Amino acid sequence: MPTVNVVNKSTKASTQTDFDGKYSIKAKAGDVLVFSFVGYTDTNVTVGASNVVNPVLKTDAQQLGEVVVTSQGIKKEKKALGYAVTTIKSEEFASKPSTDVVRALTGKAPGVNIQQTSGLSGSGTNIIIRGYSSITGSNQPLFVVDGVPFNSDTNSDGNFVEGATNASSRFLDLDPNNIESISILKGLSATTLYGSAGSKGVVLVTTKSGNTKDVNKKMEVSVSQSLYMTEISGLPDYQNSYGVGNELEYRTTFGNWGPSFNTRGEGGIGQDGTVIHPYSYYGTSVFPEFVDQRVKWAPQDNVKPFFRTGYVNTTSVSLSGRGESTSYNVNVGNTSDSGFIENNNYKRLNLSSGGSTKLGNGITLSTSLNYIKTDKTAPPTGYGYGSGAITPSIFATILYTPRSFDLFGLPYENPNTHESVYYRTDITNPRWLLKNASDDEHVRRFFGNFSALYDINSWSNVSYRLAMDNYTQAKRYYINRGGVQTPRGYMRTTNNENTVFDHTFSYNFNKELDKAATWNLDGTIGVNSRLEAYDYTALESFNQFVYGFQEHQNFQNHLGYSEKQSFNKVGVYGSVTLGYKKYVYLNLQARNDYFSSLLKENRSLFYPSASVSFVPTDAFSVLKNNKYVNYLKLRIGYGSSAGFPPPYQTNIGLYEQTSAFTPTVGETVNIVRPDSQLGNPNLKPELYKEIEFGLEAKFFDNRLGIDFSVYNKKSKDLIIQADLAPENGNIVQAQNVSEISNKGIELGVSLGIIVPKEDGFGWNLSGTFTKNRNIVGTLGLGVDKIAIAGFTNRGNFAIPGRPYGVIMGSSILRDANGNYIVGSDGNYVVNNDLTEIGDPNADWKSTIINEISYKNLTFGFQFEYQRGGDIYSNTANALLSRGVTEDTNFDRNATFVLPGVSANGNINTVQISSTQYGFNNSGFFIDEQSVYDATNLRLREVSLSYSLPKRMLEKTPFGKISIAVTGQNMWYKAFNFPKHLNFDPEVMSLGVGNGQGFDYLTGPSAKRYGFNINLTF
Amino acid sequence: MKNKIFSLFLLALVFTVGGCETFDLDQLDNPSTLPKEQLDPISAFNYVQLTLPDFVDSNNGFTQRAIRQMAMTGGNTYDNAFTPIDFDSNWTTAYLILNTIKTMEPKAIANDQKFILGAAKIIRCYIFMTLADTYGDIPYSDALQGNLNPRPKYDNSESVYAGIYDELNQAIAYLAASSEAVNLQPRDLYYGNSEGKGDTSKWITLAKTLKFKMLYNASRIGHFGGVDVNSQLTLLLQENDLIKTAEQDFAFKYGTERDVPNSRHPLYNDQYEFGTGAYIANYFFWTVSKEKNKPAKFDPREEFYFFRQANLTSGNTTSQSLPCKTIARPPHYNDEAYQSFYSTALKAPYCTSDEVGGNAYLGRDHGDRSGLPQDDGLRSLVGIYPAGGAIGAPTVVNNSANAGLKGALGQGIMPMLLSSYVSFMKAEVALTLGLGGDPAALLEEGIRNSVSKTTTFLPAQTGAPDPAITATKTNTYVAFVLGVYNDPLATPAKKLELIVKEYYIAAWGNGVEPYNNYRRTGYPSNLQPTLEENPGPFFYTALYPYVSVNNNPNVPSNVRTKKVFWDVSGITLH
Repeated sequence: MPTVNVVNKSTKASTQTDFDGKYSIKAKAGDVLVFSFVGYTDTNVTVGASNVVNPVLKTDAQQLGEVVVTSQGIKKEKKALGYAVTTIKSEEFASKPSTDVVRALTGKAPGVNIQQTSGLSGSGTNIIIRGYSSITGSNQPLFVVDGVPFNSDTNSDGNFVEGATNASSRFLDLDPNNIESISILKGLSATTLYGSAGSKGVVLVTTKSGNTKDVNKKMEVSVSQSLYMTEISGLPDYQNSYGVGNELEYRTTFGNWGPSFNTRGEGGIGQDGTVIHPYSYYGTSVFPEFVDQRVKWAPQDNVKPFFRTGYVNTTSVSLSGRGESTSYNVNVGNTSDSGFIENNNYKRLNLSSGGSTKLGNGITLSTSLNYIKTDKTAPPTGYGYGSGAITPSIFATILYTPRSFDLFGLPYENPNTHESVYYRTDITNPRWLLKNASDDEHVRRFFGNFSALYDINSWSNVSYRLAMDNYTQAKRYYINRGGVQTPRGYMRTTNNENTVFDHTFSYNFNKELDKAATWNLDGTIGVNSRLEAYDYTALESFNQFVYGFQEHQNFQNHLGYSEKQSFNKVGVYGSVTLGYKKYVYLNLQARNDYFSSLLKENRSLFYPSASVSFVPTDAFSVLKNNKYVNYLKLRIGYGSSAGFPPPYQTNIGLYEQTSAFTPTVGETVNIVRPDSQLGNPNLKPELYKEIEFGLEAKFFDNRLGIDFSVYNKKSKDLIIQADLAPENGNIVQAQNVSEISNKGIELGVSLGIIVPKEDGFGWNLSGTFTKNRNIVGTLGLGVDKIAIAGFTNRGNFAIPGRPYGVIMGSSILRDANGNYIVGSDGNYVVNNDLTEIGDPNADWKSTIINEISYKNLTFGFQFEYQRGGDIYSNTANALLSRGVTEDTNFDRNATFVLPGVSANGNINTVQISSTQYGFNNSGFFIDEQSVYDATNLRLREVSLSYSLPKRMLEKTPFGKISIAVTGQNMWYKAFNFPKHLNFDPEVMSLGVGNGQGFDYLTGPSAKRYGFNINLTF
Repeated sequence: MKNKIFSLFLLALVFTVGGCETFDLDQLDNPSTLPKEQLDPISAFNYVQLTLPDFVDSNNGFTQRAIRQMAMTGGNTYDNAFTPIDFDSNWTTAYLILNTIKTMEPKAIANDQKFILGAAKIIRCYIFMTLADTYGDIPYSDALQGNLNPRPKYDNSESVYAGIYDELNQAIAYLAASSEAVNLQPRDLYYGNSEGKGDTSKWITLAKTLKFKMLYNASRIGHFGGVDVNSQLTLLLQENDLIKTAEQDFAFKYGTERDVPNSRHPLYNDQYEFGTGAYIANYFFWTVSKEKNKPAKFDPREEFYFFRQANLTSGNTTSQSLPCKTIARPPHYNDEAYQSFYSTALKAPYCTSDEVGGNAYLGRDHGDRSGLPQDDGLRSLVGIYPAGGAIGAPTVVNNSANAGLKGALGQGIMPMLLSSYVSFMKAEVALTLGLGGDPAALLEEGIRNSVSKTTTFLPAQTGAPDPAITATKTNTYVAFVLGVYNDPLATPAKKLELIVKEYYIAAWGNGVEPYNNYRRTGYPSNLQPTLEENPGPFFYTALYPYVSVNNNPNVPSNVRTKKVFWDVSGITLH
């Protein structure tokens, strides 16, 4: 067993066991050697005659002294913590099919809600810890990598309408294979020291290069190689009975309410079962070969070939070792991830190195340096509204391609001009778009830190750390000339340089207050100053000159834009923990933040926190060595934190536009005007307060483990970008007006159903349960709702007394008794007054992970269940309204009467045709009809791994070889969606941010499967 | 000692490597925006001048559809055709312009820039009167105070009228006193010469004409605030300084630049660029080309107003391209109320402007919200007037090969107050109040001004008829209309309807005036009904926008039947 401390009680000499469990120490017979290791009972062995002492260490149920990394990188025994921390080991996310470390954590930590925007490679990921606590501010947690704040923004050019969901979240830059562990600090009492940045939770990432713990071997090399496949998670089941048209007539509509494929000689179908060629309308100048031609009236396989199987190839090599008083490591990771659709590729190269050296004068210097290069391409994924898209969008129309249109047998471009050709001119041919448009992202990032620590004496030290995180994200978006939305081509390049500079100076101490070590005091006080800045430039070009060439000089008109921003936050903080007999701990923390972009009287905020941890199993003798109760810890914490607004909200400059207009006579006109935003000189920081209570326990020989937390978090003075009534002269202003509360429970359970004995059979079950209930308090004077994401007539809203983000939109008009009102045309009457039509917040979520092992073989699978949570789905309304799936394969000759009453209160009797029924009443015209309950069950992960037994490796240079086969998202079921849509509601078309519960055809989810090999030598 | 030196070195490092930079706490101003102090009145007035046509265009989005110049396709009933959010852009544009005017005023006063102060005030009044005409009660006296009053109260539309009537007098006073140096004068995008130098006298004429228009709107009620309509009208008519020539016309002139900045008429952008622009109303096509039951192009403006991409034939109008062809005409379209004003033989148009004849234009019926068929190459478009579109023989102009390259390249105008409008207003005042001359002569003047503006606002275009032919046709047309007017059997009501109908035709491209006229007089009475027989009450006023409903508790309740103070006709509109 490695790293066991061995102390000779008599001489006080000490050493540690090496990687193979070997050690040597000077001792004479009669000396007592103490062997200690975290989680094991100290073992005393009196040295006898033999030169070899090999004791067997016993696990210590009481101690379980798990060490976790807490805020500001302070390592603490978990039992001393008065708040919840979830630690996730690298096995959970390294070498997995997902190249996004956060996405790989989905479902693994209670209270942490992780949601992908789509299944495209490189797409963004939303992460929310303990609910939304700010209304219009960011609710994404702080990422801290090796103790240093790490920019994890999702930088998209434009909004969701333009396809912002495509943008990567910058934690994607982390190489999962280079991460040692991840701790998630959820409550405010845990994150106070991080200041306002940590108010939405903190994800603490310790990389292998930043890990300065002792390495046991002179040198160790490990290599991991994986190959995974990625596919679209599911396609709808298409009907093969009816083709394009309306009212059983063949027409080149979007919808499939045309004649059945058996029709002959009516409804526009010839006696020979043919229809006029869909491209004949282009005439002889474009497609002479199709003029006067006819094609067979038959269903086509026209969606599946659009998708491909992508490959994810990851190679990771890491090398670590140590010298006399120096440790070092170097890691290289290379990832190549191609998505389930052409032109979706993500490539990442990670280089990192780190090291630590202890100088003779008591100073320890350590450093960690990382370089990352990522290159992503994806087709544009603009908002699809079910009849096309406003901006180019690859998924906007493909799924409802008319059943009878031979997409893959016909050209997609005009042979003369390269323009898109399709069965109608107002949709871009999806195949054309795939070849002619792209949304690319290139990141070059450097981050790292340098720190120096000086031991003043045996119990205190001072440290200084300089950290920086600097990246440049260059994006390029283009569409060649010839599409529908931008017929003459468009290109935009943007460059975003993001800089974080962070200085921390701290004094740390840890002292036993009396000889018996009854009282212990440890803590830190420090100053932290941080600069965050970005510098953004954009160039847009219009009117492509030569088709297919994407450089700005190949476009005729240009528009430029640039913007820079910078702000500072200075914090003074302190934390002390007073421990009594290692079973009661009191922790007090406070921080005062100063923010550079508020008026002097409002820019400072002080926020304290306190927590207590109590371990009864260590305190009461009756509980010690108890058979049933092995470990018990109670904790209670109070925390507070601040939220600062984005900079420059107090005083707003002017809006200007050059070249606003070119008259026929005279020069181009430039304009300037007041900005439409109104400054708010009284703006102050948001304030969050939270109280949490927790219980951690182990029972029955540690077979059953429980980690339970309840919390109540209140946020007030929340800043919203409040819409103003334009009649005051402005349309928006940042205001501190809102309140929101989050209450929730988090439960983590582990259960050893069968505890393995000596390489035998074992079965471990673990699970999480998360329930968060948030309620919006007041929104400020006279305001009864705020649009927070989506469109203002269909989107997520904050409404007092309702959960955050409820979906508002148009509804079916009801009479006084709540009956649906049917108009004289037989269709439902729309109520365009905004009505609450859904709540996107899940009632609860739960994960169950099974791990079954036999000898060196481990089989694991993870199920996730989400209860409730509504989603507005354009995939559903488009497929149903267009009548393309099996769900709509009913007798189309029948007539339908909608349940409801007419305007005068009588039961509706108006008969409507199948076209009317399907097209008008599937959510196209009334938002309410597009909202579905997203309750779903999914097989998040299934894996089978095998590590070669040690004895087989003895004659090889390898220390460890393991092979795993893993699949992610292999099966899912959304119970309340029409069956044949096979729709996976795990998408977020509003992108990373505060919007949720919308599917706007911006990208379906993916499944991934494949294998991984790990070698250590 | 060595350690201490090292520690000091470290400390020094903290403060040298950006330590000070990260401690700077005074960073309130955005380095990427111009400071407020740099609001130059001339550049701000540029914004005001450029954005005014956007305001009218967004207002047209509603009024032209309500009045059947453009086809209402957003809904099949009035309940679902427009929702509050559809009015956000019009309302927001208005108040952003108004706020710009207000914000620049102190500096303009300090600089003694009276031209800008006067002209901006006229635009302010035009916007407020248009808002009051469109929405009824609006925020006026409390508006535009920023942090001092974020939720202004709504003023009664009559008191708004009274307030801006007074402000127009102030504007005239500013302009009359303008004597500042040329470099302090604005670049005048409305009345400027080729160097952009403006003409205060034309702005003064505009101010007086706007006063006249307000009095005219209120002519059925006789007064607003302390203003007596008849006496003020009499004064203005005697003074005789109302818009009467094309040079005095209040209209924004668009350019031909396609991108960066797109400077073309919005309807041109819509219909000549992408292929699927908004539909023109079948009724408007019909009333210009068919209702008088005369041969094609009887109205000399017809070929300037509309452009046919293809003659409709039984071959090209299939169930694919013209689905309504296969759907029966709704019975209520045969009601007498909707038949031609001139010829009882002509029923309301359906499906196209002329379902039986070969002179049809393809537009859409009122309240036809059905899906889009394949008619890109068949739809009839706006012509050279007012959008700078095409004229001449039918050809497809909106496919991508021709996109944005046809006709007058969008060099249209946004008509706001033209000399022809003034003639029709005068004609009505003369007929109903007996003030200021002979209604028939004014009617004729209105028609001739309208034809002249339509046919000559741009230099002669290829494909346009010879001016001599236009002159002859104008005479014939005038003679026909005056014949109807002077028909001994024509009642005063019929005479008024004729004036309003001619005004309606002349106002192509401007929905504001005909929408006012329809509510004030109930004319044209034969507007095409919705396809749905029971569409619910007409929009007697527009809906208050979502942005105001949601953010200002003072907003009155949103009912379509609330009326502007001058709307006292009592007629049930459809």
